[in-house]
Amino acid sequence: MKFGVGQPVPRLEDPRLITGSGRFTDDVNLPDQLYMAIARSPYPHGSIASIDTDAAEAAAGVVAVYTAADIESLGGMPCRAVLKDRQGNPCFIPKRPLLAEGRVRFVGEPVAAVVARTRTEARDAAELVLLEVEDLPAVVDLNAAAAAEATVLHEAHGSNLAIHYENGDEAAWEAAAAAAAHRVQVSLVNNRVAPSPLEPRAAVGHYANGTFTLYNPSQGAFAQQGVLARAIFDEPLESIRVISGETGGGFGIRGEVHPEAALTLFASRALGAPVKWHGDRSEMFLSDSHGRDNLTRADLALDESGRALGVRIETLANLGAYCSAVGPFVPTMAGGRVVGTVYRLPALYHSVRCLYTNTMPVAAYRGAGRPEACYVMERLMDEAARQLGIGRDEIRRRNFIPSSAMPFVNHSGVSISSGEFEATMDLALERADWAGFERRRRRSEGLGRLRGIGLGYYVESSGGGPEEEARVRIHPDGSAEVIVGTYSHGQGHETAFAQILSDTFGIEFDKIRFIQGDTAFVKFGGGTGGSRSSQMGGIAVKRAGEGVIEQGRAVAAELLQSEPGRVTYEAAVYRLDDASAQVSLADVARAAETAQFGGEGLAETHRYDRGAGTYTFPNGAHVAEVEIDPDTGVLHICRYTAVDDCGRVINPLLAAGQVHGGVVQGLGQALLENVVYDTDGQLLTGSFLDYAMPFADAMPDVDVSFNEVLDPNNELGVKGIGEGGACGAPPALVNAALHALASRGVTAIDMPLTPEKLWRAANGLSLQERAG
Amino acid sequence: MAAHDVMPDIELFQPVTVEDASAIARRLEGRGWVLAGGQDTYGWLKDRAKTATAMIDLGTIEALSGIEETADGVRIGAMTTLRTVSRDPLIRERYALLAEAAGKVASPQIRNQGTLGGNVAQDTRCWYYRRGLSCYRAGGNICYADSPEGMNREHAILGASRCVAVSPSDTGTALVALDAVMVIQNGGSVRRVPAAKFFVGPAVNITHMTVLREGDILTAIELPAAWAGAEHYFEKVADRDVWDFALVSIAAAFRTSGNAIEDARLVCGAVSCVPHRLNAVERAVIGRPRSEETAESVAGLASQGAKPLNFNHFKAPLMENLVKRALRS
Repeated sequence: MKFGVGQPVPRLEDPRLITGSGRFTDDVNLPDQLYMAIARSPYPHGSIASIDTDAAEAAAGVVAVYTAADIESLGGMPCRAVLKDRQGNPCFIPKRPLLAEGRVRFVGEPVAAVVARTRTEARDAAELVLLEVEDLPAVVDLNAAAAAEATVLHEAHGSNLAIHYENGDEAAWEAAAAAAAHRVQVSLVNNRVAPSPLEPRAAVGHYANGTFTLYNPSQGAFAQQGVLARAIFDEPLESIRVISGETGGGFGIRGEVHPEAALTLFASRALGAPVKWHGDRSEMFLSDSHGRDNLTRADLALDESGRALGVRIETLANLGAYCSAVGPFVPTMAGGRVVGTVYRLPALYHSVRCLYTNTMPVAAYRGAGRPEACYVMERLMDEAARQLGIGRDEIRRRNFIPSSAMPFVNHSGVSISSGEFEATMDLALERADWAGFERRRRRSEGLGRLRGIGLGYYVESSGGGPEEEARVRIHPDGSAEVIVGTYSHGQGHETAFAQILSDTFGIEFDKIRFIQGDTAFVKFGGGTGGSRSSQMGGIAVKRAGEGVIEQGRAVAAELLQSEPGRVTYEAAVYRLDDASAQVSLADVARAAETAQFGGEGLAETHRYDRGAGTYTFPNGAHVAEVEIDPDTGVLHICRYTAVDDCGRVINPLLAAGQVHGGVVQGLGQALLENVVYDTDGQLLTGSFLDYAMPFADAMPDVDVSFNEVLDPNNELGVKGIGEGGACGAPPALVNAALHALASRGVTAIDMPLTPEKLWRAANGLSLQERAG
Repeated sequence: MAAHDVMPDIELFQPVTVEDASAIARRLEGRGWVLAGGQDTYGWLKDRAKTATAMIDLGTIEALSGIEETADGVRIGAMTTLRTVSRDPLIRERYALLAEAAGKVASPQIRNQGTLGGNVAQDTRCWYYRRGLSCYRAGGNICYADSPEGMNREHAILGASRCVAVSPSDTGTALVALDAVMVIQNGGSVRRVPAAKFFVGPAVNITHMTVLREGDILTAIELPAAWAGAEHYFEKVADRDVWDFALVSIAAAFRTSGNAIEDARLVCGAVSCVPHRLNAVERAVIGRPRSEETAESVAGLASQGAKPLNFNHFKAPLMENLVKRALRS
């Protein structure tokens, strides 16, 4: 089967995307639309004394100016994370208003919405909105936020602590630590990043005839529809239609609705015209959710031979000024499910303090909690190897959960269903020529450069929400239509799902039409996130397709005047088992639309339920080899090897694309990217000039391969591939840099590894970039 | 309506002669924004930190583009793109230092559009200034970068005076090293300014980075035969290898006789408001070979007089390391 599962089929969506005929939200322009601009707080923290909108209202072209007082009928941005601490106290989740109420809590917080006839007029007028505040001290640093004397962002709560999440057994850890021959500690920064999809956020809101229609980038329209209906507008679900055409990258942060989208709908209802908003890039740095931002101290107890006895991981996690839709879920449970990752750890204690600070809220970002968890364990393993004088591969070998122990229930009660961690690592070491490193190191040394090689092993718990739905219909012309609740914001689902259906039906690839991202057609779904689309949408699609074949078999049996049990199906043809008669899938579909067969046509909706609390476990070994110039600190990635186990590979081109994308994002976080707020809470990295997104020059040739260990719990055997690169790259690169710097006595360094930081490390200078 | 949503209304002039361009500029009295490749200009407009009501597009003046041999070297039209400069056989053969520097500017897309004249005349990249804050350079009375909490990793360690912004030009260092001459026309009169005098620091003029004044059009850059075919070294250290500004760069040219350096130019970029010529190093290397020993003994002179700010102490040793590399190879 040329276009079936496992084939490197080029992406169906690319001709449309690369010829500019895709329809992104900013391509949507409705007749008589008005334009919205947002006046944002330039202050990180303050009590609002007044918001003077007179000048803005009087400005050319302005139709309306809204502040919090005008939108009292609307609810706030909800957080769907449900968390309790061990004492049963719920996580403190303050109201996040669409427009600041009473206080401003971060630079960029929306204060007023200005609607005008043109975008320029709206933006000009937004600059005239005069916000006066009584300044409050800004809380930026995580340690400062946690301090007893800290200024409190949400006064009624009394502290900046949203929740102290705990997992595992502290007493067991203490016992393990007491019995340990070796203790290894690391203190780590998981730096804050700005996910920065290529497409800046935009929204077109249109209220007409009692229905709200929102055009908006997303990772699945349902989550947005639900939030708008239930939490913000208090309207029936069916009165809100959300349409996502093309979305230029999601990375987690497009999984949630942002305030501006809701405000376009509100303004449209109030003004009787469509309202469009389109943020520019600097506005995205201020107002698109950020990712990561943890401080972690971890302690590993080992026996004489380097076998782990237990681990303690204590994290301060930055939520920003409010909770995003997933907020405290990411640093706690999302990563917590696989805290300890791929290693056998007799004892584990995990503690996370989630804190509010005067910064943009933090949301899910590629991997969401899993990359952070993996980074901690991989840094610990390397440090343990160094201190104990064991090979870095060897210490992992001694501690991996063996495949014979699968399914393996970890400390979070999660059952890791499959994985060949040692074999996957060995494959990566071989492809990376780990054994031949010393020869290459000497060659670099001769050129005055420091060379290092590093390993990062990751595992994820993937799948997200346990239910997903697909509807497959066969049209009378024999073509198939598939509607699915997952959402492709660039990954290539159109291609992958067509491959699955092409396999299932034995029909031509180009006879399959794909529909997603419009709540008017797609009735249920969990959207995309957490590497879930292939394993959830893929299986729902496959089963819906199989259901259609069964339905068709009954119809075919009648048409052939026989019994369904005697009808076989292959390559779009139903045949009697003695091959005496046959009828095509198209004819069956046509018949199914007639009154004789109920007139419903040949269609099946399947809702796949994976089972709550079950996940798949994509995992893999990434090896990075780097060279550092000690004169300038410039790091060059000489070689990068990724061996991922994502279960069955549906399309190696798409899968490799996901690995490349994940690696470059992980590389960005490890080497360059860093959101910087100054001590006063001003955002300093407000453009791509200041926020160092990696460019093509930083990207090595990635050697991509797969160790396909099929997932035992779904019939496709898929696990997911969306996030592995972002998990594997940071530890592989940082461990490689530390290996390179070992000869200079460096044992610790924090991301991002900018040239200056590496140069300081290589030359024995303080890593503190501020002098004095 | 759609167009209005992207750009403000701008009166656009597209003269075909330098005289006209100059005359329009004088008539508009400072309101006329002289536009070369636009790679600096459009950023200002997009960020809304500066606005223009009138623009004088030099792209329509054919005489400003092209590279030609002259009696005493090579003449490059100011509107010649950076890509052309970096790829031109004549430049690569005789002034490879400039070709390399031009080839390190920003990204291929920007080099296709950006011009040599624009690259030397561009405004500074101090992020406080570019954000539109009212600092000294913008006519105010404060420097945000040089305040106790200022973030000044990219800023000057030499030649600052109230303003600590640096010249971002990659080609400026090479042009100073090659003793280039900038040809400036105003109305009917033409003046020739050495590259080293073309760039001005804040002590001279805090709101302008070059000597260009109203009605001045930079028409060409002349490279003297004296430095043709010289040994050279160029390196730009930045966080990323493309589309980034230098943290420190070096452009060096050497004339040697036998083993000994007869004359040298070493110029550092991104350490001062102007391309910073290392006079002490230049003097110290005369008569010596390009060698490890020479490198080690003179590198310390490179950062003499440096006054680092809170976050840019690294620039002084980085300058020294780059000087060593220039003298070694």
